[in-house]
This record gives sequence, structure tokens and C-alpha cells, in this order.
Amino acid sequence: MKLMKYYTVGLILLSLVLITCDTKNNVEPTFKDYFIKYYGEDGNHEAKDFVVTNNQEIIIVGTVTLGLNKRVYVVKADQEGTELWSVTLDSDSNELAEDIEPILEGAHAGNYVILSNAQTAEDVLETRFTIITATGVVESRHTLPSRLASQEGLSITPIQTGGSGGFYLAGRTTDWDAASASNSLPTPPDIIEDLLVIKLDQDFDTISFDRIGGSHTGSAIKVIQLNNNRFMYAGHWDGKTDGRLPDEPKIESNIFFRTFENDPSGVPSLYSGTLSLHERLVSVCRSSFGIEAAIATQSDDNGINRKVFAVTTSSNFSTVLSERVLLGQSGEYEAVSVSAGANRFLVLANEINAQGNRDIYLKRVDGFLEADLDLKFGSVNNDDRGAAIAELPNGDILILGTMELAGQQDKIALIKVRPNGAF
Amino acid sequence: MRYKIIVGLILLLAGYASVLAQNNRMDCEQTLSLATEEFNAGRFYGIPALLKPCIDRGFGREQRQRAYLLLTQTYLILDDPISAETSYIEILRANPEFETDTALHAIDLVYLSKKFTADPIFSVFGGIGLNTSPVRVIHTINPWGSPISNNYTLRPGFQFRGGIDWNITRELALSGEFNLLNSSYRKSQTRANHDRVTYIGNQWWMVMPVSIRFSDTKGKYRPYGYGGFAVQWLVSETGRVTNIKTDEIDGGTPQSNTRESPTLRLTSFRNKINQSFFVGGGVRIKTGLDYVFADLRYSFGLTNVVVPTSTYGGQTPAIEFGHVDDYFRIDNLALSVGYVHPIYNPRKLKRARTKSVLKLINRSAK
Repeated sequence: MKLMKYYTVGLILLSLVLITCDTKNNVEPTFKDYFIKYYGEDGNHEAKDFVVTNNQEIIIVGTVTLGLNKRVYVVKADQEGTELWSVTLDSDSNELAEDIEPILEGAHAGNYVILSNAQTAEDVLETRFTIITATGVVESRHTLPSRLASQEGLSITPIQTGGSGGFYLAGRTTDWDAASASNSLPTPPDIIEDLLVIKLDQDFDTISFDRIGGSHTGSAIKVIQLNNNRFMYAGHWDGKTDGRLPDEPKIESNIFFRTFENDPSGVPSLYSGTLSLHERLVSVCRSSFGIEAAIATQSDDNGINRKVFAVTTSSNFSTVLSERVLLGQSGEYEAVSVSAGANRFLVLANEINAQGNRDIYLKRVDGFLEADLDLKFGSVNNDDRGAAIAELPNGDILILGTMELAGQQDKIALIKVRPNGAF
Repeated sequence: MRYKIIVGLILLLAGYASVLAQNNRMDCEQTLSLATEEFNAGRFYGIPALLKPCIDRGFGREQRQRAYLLLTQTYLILDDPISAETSYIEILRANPEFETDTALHAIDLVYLSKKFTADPIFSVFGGIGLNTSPVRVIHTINPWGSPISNNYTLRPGFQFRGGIDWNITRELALSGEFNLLNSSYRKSQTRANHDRVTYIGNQWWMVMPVSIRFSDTKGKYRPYGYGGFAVQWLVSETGRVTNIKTDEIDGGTPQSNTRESPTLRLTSFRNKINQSFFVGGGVRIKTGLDYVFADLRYSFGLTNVVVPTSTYGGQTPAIEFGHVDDYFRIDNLALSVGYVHPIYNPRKLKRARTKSVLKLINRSAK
């Protein structure tokens, strides 16, 4: 009887113990919704850009380096970061991924266009476009006809024309511009970087080809469609900021925004930046709350003392609302990407430490560049860098970057955090 | 020279004392024999006085037991129960495991013995041993977009144990322990085609187990089994991550590159307080009044060792090495050897266990 009592007490205690046991069902799998996921297999993988599909799947584009070869690498992941498919694009030369965008109109509507630049010979870049489906099937590849020895696409913008659609390509060329009427400098430098704004039809045939810059240096970073037939392209160059062309010698680059309908080669409509330092535009975006934003890397003539310079403008890039150094009051930073959320902008940058290694830095700001969130990812000993950023409809934040793991390999990293920055 | 003289003198004195004690014991053995003869001859009154000098100074442990046994029997015959009880207590002090036997001892002595016990209320024990820690994964966390393969393997550890048993009955005891335990485990992950990441973790635990033990109480070899619950404090975890990246370039021979991390402290990524349930068994081997034991115990970790929110973060091994902890419980299989010292406590029982003797007396009276 006494022993029975002991057994009963023992069984009760054992039951209590087992109730306290952590199991699959009572340990919350928070890691599923918020995570860092790496992508890539053999070789080193550099992230470049991503798009988030309507069902919140993510298509990432980057470059894989295997031995001496560089190829465009595309991977799609679901909301939990699980890889759905990946594909490495065939190429006859080294090819670097640059941009990916969804196609809304025309023959390729519903698919995605990937912009890449292939190095077909020394100092010769060739711009390529790849149409890929949501399931990872490469439908077609196109090469921009080579008008200049070096033409580098920096972004592609699918446009909506109410019909067959088309694309705007923004970029730059370093080809010598001997024939430019605006090349009026007495002693022009050997290589001058000029802006390229190229309009393409749905089959990537050239509709218009504009090389802009003359004796000045600059790049077109992005074309944005403002409405049916009005566009804006943003970039940087070292032309005078008063809007007069031909211009006078000046060496500091500034951000510019130019709205246009058909001819992008006219006068920039809005400038931002400083007179004594370079601001080289890196990323520009529109928002749904009536304010636009752009970020640039600010530096001195030698390219050092780098800071993140941000500017916000009123709707349609008409007037500057706020402009200032956002990151870099101490230490060095380089701008990476800006993206609009529901009511704030997400600024992605790289913080550069004394050893030259980078960390991924996120700053969330409002329309007047007041910050409410700062986040950093990376290890001191490794070179980790950002690529792109987006806010999901529920406020969660997606960050794309490249992580150097164990000091031996680069891998594409997708980071998903809550709206407050926590995992 | 002076030291040599002092040491010599000490040795001489020690030798002299030893010889003196030996002589004493021999003299007292003769006294004990004489007292036994007196008892057998029915001359009881002189026995206490005869034994007193030797009891006071000369008996060895075994001689004391015999002397007090003789005195107890003498006092019982002399109808002096108080002195008999006092003498019986002294028997138990001389030999706590002394038990009367109806075949050897008079029934009144057996009856008296049932009023006393020397069973230890508490026993203390200590031990050392080896252990290994199987990992039981609650959730696999894949830091890679593509599938991975994880493999946990055992590694050796060691532990120190000490504790106290509360002997509720002769068979049943409640044990409380303190263990200092070093354990280790290895996680190997294959990912990204051929890449391999290995993490070896080394943990220090302070474990406080409480268990109920059921033991055999007879014979030289006394098997036992037990079960219980432990609160475990993870003092620290350190580890190293080894990344072996293997690339196959253009179908050629795979090329590998190995990098090992410095020692990482992962303590802050761990739940410090954990619980486990354990079962075990072993054997106690009687050596004199004490025991040596060999014990095998398996502890089932009940709680997730990993802080759920620590998987990712700005400064985690996920960022630097691509290493992510699964959510896991950690078990432990430990083999220990040690020593048990029962703290014997000769005492009179509040409730004498005389029923069986009375039955025996009644039976023999019929």
C-alpha cells in the first residue's frame, strides 16, 4: 500500500515533468518567418537585386563566380526563404547581373526581365536582357545592339503604354565621345563617362538612343514612369547645376532629376547635392505617399570620406523637400539602395570599417529624412554588403545582400525582419 | 643532525605505542575469554567489572562488539533492562550492521534487538565518470535556401558527482546530488552541394538531480535502480566552426578550402536553466561498512537549450560562419564510479519491530 503511494506520487511527478517538456508543438518556430537565408552552391555569389512577387515570393538575381567565369545567377524563394528554383544563365563571356524587374505589359507580360552586362572584350561591355518566367524558364535572351564600344546598363524599367509595353534602359558609356557637339572643354580627359537613356520596344529593338553628357562625366541610374507618357530619369553628372548647356568646367558630380516625354537629352529639371563634394546617385524610388527619394554616395575628389547623401522631393520630383548626409557623420559609408514602404523610406547602405570590410546598414527614414530605425548586419572580419531592400505589405522588411562567410566564400543572403527590425 | 634525532625519537615512540596497543588487545582478548568463561559458568555479577578496564581503553572494534554482546546478555539475565539497552546500543556503535539471529542468540536478545536500529538515515557519496550527450532536435533550422543534411555525433565528456541519500526505508531512498558535468557534441552539416560545416560544442553544466532509488539490501553486490528530475544550469558553451568549402569547377577535380573559426562563446545564445528527467541503475559493492558503486544514468533533456530569438542577429555565428543552431534538447548518458559512506546512527526505535519475535516466542511456547 505504501509502495503504491510512492508509485502514484512518482507518476504524478513524471507527468508534471513530461508536461514541461519542450516539443515541436510548443516551441514557437520564429525562425521560419524571420531569418537569414543563404543562396548559392559552388563558387562565390554576389547579390544584385530582387523582386517580390504578388504572392510574396522573391526572385533574386546575382552573379556567380566560379573559377575565372562570371555568370548571371537567378534564384526564387518562397516567403520562408526556401529555394524554389535556381538557374545559372549560359554565356560566352563573363556576365554580371544588374537588375530584375517585372514586365507588366506586352508580349512578355507576367514574366521578368533581367538586365546584365557582358564583358565581351577588354573595356567592351555589352548589355543583355533575359526574359525569365516565374517558374525559372528562360524564355529568351537579347543583346542591345552595340553602338558604342562600351555601353553599360544600370537599370531597366518596363513601361506601360497601354499597348505593347516596352522598356527604358538607363546606364552609361565610357566610349570616347569625339562627335559630341557639346564636347567643348579645351582639354577633355581621355575617358569621359556619359549618360545613356535608351528606349526599347517589347522585343528589345531600339526606339531611341540618347547619349548625354558631352564633356562632362555622369551616369543615368534609373528611369521612372510618372504617368502614361511622362517619365523621369535620375542620375549624376558634373555639369553645372543651373541647368544651362553647354556648360562650364566643373568637376563635382551632383544628383539630378529630369522629367521628359520623348526626348531625355534636354535640360535637367532638378539638382541636389553640394558644390564642393561629389554626390553620385545610386538609387531612386517613388512612394505611394507623395514623396520621392534618392540616395547617393558622397565623397571628395579622391573618392574617400564616403557618406550616404539622401534627398527627398515632392511628388514627381518637382522640388527638393529635404537633403542631407544621412550616414557618415563619423566613419565611412556607401549608398546601396532606397525603397519606399507604406509611409517611410528604407535606405540600405554599407558601413565601411577601418580594415576596409563592409557591413550592411539599414536606416528607415520619413519624408524629411528623420530616422526611426537603424540596423546593422555583418561581421568585423568579413566583407558583407547590401544589394537591395523592400518593405512587404505587412511592414516586414526584406534585405538582400552578400555575406562573406568564414572569410572564404561569398553567398547571397536574404534577411527578413519584423517592422521593428527584430527577427 | 638534530632533526634526525627528533624523527628517530618520534618513530621510536610510535613503535612503542603500537606494541603497547597490541599488548593491550592481547591482554583484553584474554579478559574477554575469561568473561565468556564466567558467563558460561553462570557467574554474571563480576562480568561488567571484569570487562570495564578493557572497554575503557583496550578493545578493538570487533572485541568491543563481542564484549557488549556479552554485557547485554548478562544484563538481560540480571534483569537490568536499562543497562542491557545501553550495552546493545554500544554493540551497534561497534558494528552498525550487527543483527541478531534466532539460531545464534537467545530470544530475549533477539527481542531486545528489535527495539534498536543502526540503519543510516543519510548516506553521502561521491564519484567521477565519463559521459556523452546525444542531441535531440526539436526544429531543424536551415540557414540555406536549398536543402541541407545535418548529422549529430557523440563526443566524450566527464563529470564529478556528489550527493546525499535520505534513506526512507532500507530499500527506498531519496537522493539529492550536485554534478559538475562537461559534455560535448558535434554537428556536421552538408550544404551547397559539397560544402561541409562542422560545429563542435563544449558545455559545462551544473546539475542538481533529485531521485528516488530502490535498492537491494542484501549481499556483497547490491543492484539498484532509480528515476528522478534534474535542474541544470548551463554555465558555458564554447565551440569552433570549421567550414570546408568544396567547389567543382567545370567538372574538374573538386577543390577544397578549409577555415576554422576561433573559439566562440555561445553561452548567450543558450537557455541557462534547463530541466531533465533521468533513469539509471547500478550496483553497490560492499566494502566494509561503506560501498563502492558503478552507475549508469540516462538523462532526457526536457527543454530547448537554444534561446529561440538568438538564431539570427547582427553578431551571430549565422552572419560570420553561416552556422545556425537547431532548436534542440540535449540528453546525457553517464557512467560513474564512486564511493558511498552511510552515516550510521544507532538509536532506539520509537516503534519497536517486535511483532515477529513475539510470534516466534508464542510459537515456541506452544
